[in-house]
Amino acid sequence: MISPRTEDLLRRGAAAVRRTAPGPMLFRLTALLAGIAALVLALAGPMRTNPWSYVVAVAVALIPAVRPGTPWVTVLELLAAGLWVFGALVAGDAHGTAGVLALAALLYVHHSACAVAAVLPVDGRLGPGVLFGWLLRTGSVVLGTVVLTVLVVLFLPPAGTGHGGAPLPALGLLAAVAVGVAVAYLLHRRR
Amino acid sequence: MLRAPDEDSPVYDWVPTRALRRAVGVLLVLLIAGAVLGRVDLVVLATPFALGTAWGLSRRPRLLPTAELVVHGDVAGEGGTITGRVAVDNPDRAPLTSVTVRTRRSEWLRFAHGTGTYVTTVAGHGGTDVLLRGRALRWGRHRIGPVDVRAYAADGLLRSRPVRVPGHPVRVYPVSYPFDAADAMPKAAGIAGTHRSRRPGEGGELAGVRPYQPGDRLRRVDWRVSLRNRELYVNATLSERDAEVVLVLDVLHEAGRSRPGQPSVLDTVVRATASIGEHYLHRGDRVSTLEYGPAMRFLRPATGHRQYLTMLEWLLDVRVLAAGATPTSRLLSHRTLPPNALVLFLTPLLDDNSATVLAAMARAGRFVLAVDCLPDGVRPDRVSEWTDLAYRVWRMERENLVGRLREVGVPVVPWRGTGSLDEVLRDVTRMAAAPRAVLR
Repeated sequence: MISPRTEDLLRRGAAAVRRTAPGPMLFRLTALLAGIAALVLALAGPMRTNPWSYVVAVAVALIPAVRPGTPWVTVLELLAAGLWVFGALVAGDAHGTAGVLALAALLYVHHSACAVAAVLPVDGRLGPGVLFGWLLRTGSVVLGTVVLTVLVVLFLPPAGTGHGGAPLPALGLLAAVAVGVAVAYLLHRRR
Repeated sequence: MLRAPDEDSPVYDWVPTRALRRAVGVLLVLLIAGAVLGRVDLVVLATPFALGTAWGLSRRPRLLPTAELVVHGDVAGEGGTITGRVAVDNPDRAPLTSVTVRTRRSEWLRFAHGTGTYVTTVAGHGGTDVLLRGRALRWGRHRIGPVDVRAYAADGLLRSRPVRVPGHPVRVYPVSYPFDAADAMPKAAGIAGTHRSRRPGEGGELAGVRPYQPGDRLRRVDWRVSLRNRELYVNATLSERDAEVVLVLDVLHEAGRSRPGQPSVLDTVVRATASIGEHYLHRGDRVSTLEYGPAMRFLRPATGHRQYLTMLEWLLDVRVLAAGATPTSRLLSHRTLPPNALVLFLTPLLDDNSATVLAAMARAGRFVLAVDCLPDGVRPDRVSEWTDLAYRVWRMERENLVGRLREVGVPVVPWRGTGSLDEVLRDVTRMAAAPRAVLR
């Protein structure tokens, strides 16, 4: 026997599915696929052989795809990064530069797809410029990341060695502080 | 503690979205973790977030977009087309990643395009239009809008303060059913018009032949009768006068749900009023309208197309007031209803007050006719095991009421459009010609 509240929820869910337009669905689907791929790529050694890991990855990726305006997006992205570091430090996974770039690209695609999906109602109709603009910007950012990474690979020690040299922690902290100050300044400047 | 501006801040035109908070948060966590653990791969993971955020915020707009709602024509008929557009302009040189245009509308306006939420991009110093195209489903005063416009910039990292454009009123006139009534008025009362009166005068309707009197026109001489009688005889005619028609709208109760092809009581009353009014105004009669309810709104009698348009405008404000309101008692006043006017009482006969006032008017010698405006498909809302039985009992009581009204001299005719009133008008005319006793 279904309770009236559950029945109401199901009815509203079915109505939302019926109302869903192709544009918002495309962004949510992109977020789902990028989230699954990022989690699967970041899985640490023993987890890869366990089929339940993949089920959990799909389930975790499904939440931000359905609710892209919630903190679940951040949870997925930090979880993927955490799994990546866990695999490298504890399980001893050796990821190459291509793996790091692929994960970076997937996390950014997930982030930006959720950013657009969060501002689109499920029944919203999209102009073609929205999709093309998003593809162009995201592609450019990913390309810029590849270029920068190649430079990093060329001029710094191999990734994941844990021997980045003495200036790296200081540079990283400085960069973090600089980012925080810049964003705060931009946001609080009224005009 | 440093906090970003609130999303609904009235101070800031542009506020950060959750995506910006997320990007900055993830970026900081990855950078700090990379620095602490000495891992370059975490810095690489943070790089697209840094690049994307920096690129987005570097093209940050400072001005809000502007919006305007344009509706082409604010008058339509039921079933008519309504068109318009929402124009959004971006006065800033920075492009807008997306603009969300949400146009609300009255429930009786159905739009094939334009309402709901539209998302599009707008270039710097550019603009975009969302076209509105729809259909008016029901008479009344409706509204398109308000329109809510929200812009997103910097790849969805910033959101503008909402820009709200006030709604635009649209008047939808009731559709006129095809209606015609060929019969005469019971009592033509004006000084000119198309209905034959019972008084002799200049007209086209032959009243008889009478001996010539000084002043009679030569063209009225009936030569055949004159030759036969060796004396001049002339054709006597009845004068042609206009009549006053008072359309009384019973607004005590509403029943049924208004849907396309399934009118409610009020829909039927209003559309029937428009049809009958158009017919008599077209024939040159004076028509006035009156609400039978607590307020007793009144449209003064007049003739012609101008009065027809005024009547349509008047009909837009017809409302059924709260249940239990006491109807006016001034309806029987001589000032309200002229003695010789034909009173067409459009009523669903759902209230005893309506039947009482109809009977009172008939007893007072008015020419009154009840037009039954209860649509066929009207059924009670609540459904229980007793509903059918109660409904059948109520129908029988209503038939009984109609029978009693006919007994006291109030013809009751269901509204069926064309020719609905012909037969009844003939009866009313015959009754008007007959001598009768009137209560005073």
